[in-house]
Amino acid sequence: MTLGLYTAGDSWLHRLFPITKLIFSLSAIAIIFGGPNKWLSAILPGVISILILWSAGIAWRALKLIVQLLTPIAVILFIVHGFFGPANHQILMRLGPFVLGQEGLMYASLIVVRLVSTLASSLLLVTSTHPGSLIQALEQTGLSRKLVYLLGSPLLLLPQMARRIQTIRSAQQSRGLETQGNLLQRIKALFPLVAPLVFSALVDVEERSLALEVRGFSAPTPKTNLTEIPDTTKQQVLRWGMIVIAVCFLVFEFWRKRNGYD
Amino acid sequence: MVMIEVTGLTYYYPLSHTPALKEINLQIEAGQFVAVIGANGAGKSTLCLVLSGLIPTLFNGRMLGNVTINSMNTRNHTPGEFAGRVGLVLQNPTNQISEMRYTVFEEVAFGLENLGVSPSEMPERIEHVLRLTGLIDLRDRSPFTLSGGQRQRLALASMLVLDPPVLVLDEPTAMLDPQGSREVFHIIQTLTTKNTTVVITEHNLEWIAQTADRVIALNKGSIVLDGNPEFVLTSPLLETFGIDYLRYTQAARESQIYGLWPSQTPLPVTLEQSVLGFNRVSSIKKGGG
Amino acid sequence: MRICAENIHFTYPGNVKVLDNISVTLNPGEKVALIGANGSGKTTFARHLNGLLRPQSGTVWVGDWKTSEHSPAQLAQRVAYVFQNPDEQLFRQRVWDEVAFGPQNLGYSASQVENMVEQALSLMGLTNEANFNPRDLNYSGRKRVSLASALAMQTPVLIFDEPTASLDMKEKKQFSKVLKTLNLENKTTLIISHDMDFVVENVDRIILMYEGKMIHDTSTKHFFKDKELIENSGLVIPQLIRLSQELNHLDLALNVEQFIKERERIITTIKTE
Repeated sequence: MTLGLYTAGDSWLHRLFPITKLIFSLSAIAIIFGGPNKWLSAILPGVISILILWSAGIAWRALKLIVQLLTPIAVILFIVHGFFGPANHQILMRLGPFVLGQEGLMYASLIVVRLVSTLASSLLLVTSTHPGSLIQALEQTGLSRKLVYLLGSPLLLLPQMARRIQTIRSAQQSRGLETQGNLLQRIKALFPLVAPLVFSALVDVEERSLALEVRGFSAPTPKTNLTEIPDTTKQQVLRWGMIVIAVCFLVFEFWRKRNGYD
Repeated sequence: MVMIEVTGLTYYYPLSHTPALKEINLQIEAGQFVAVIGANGAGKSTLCLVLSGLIPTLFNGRMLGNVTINSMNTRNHTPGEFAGRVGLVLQNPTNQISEMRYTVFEEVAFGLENLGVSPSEMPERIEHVLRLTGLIDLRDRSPFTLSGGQRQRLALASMLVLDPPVLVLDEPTAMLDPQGSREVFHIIQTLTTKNTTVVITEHNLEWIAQTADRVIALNKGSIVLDGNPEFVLTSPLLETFGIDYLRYTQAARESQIYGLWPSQTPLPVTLEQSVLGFNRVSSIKKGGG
Repeated sequence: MRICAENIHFTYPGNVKVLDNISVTLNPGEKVALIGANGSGKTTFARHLNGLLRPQSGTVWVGDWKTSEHSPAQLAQRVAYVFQNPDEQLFRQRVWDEVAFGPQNLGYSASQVENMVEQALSLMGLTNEANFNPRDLNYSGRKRVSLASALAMQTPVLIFDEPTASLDMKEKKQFSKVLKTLNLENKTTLIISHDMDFVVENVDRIILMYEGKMIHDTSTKHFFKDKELIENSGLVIPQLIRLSQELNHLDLALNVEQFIKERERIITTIKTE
């Protein structure tokens, strides 16, 4: 069963306390964009994430998603920066009137690597954690339920949204809307598809909030939990460790820049 | 004992100049099963929101008069305080499932968690309502994978687990197929044997005729008929309020004109009553020659 | 226009067979109901008739077109399909503009569009709401706008998915009139519905689906003879039919008028005996 990006399983990664995975992803992203040694900071978290995903047996799905999502972006980045990068100096190749520059190519590569790493470390969390468990774990940390719901509901409603987009497209096609074809046609088709999505979501939100109210969502009583998602001291230590490492990296990089080492 | 008391209620939605409900006075006894009928726009859904304590505090409209549910005035208590005291089931099953939990079992627990029920007490209560709603075999399934009818039963189970003395249902079967509707009706019917006060809006008049203690008809925000199903569902005024008759009633009404329905017999609202009445005419004709 | 489905099979990814060898012909001027429990394949089948789904084997003909050779947008010239939930299609600020969307897509001129919209609005009793924002109407109002949107396209074939769900008595009567008008214009209409009391009074022919198979296809009158079949497929027998059966009528009544005729016949036979 897949719910959004979540892939069911029973690996050690699946069993980890969701917050541990969340902290991992957040620390990884902090290091990817703010760590010292741009290339190493960009590559290492990605490699570690993929190794972890591999040991949990869900690396293929993650890699496929990364390739699917990033290929078009990568192509655009390479073309834009490779041929038109403002820092281009060293010429690698000429293609008619266009010149491929080394600096632009390197810059595009860095961005792509960073994106791959970011996606890999986020997928580590998302593909191995049921949205419900993530939400429950967040509640266990003592965050207010309303805040947690606000953060979590987009994730939870994703599969429903996907289904609805499909229905809206069918309904409008049945009214003669051409959704295929050239770019202009597709752009014209966008509004009839998006507007009903927003409207029907608004109708739903009202009903949803009523349903939550009558189930005591804002009842003035202390909350309890049927089950606790198990956390361990080891994981707590691990989480603090990851936070400390990420902060150290960021501080070190900040200090290096301030003292003009770049 | 009076469970719900409405006095002089008039309600305007925000920005609206015509009242959605007008001068409503209503008393509902504990354990009564009340069906509310009316054309679209007559105020049925608004009444449901009033009787579950969500209007006036959750909406910014203007309310005149007073509503007390289980001796709590709805002006002075938030919906949070009514949770567990009044249950509400809506039309669309999908919107009533929080999706915040992994399994059917945990979804039902969600309300108990919100009300701070101790975890040791939960499993027994949850298992009880899952059995009542026929969902016990699906306890470990993801709510996302259930059919429409199953989801609506889950929404019901999620309310019933809180054991509210009052349950309000706003067209709970409108989006279900006949099989799903039957299952939901069956569960609601079991509540009548308990002491739950039930208020329901529902299009299936045949089921109402068989189940309800009392039927209230709304027209343009006002109560226009109030009485037992036989009285309300056969009223000559029903048509003028845009409410359909049961086909049984309609057949007998029109047969009356041709002398095909016994003149002294009240119009039928169930299959049994119709059969009895029509057969009586046949036997009279036979006997009389 | 004639619609003809020949030996349709359809399986969703993951090997769930939804349609198992379906063959149906719908003729001009026919009012047909497609019924069955949820999951019986009704919607999947109906979506084959306007090309939203294409048969994995078999052919669907809409007039002289094969659905596999035309896009749903092209097929919209011939088949209108109204989805169940109006909120999943309404997007314009004015009822009038919303109803005009279909005809505009089909390439009609401005004056033709105006004509088509006015006609559809008057059929659905929405003339006074033409300038309203559809979102300010209540649910059944929005539902009627979505029905008008399909009528405006003036296609020879119309498919309605649960058209009477959430409509009240007056609104149902109005829709029933619309069906009669379409019938007079020799159009083909297919209604997918659970509302059996409405179905018996408004269609000539009923197709019953069960677990992806078409298990019954006959005139409305004959349909209810097989009581067991209907009950086993999870359906509700309409009130008048049940009453006729309990009273041992030879002629099962589809509406009150027919019921009274049969009563009169019985009483006169009793008298003459």
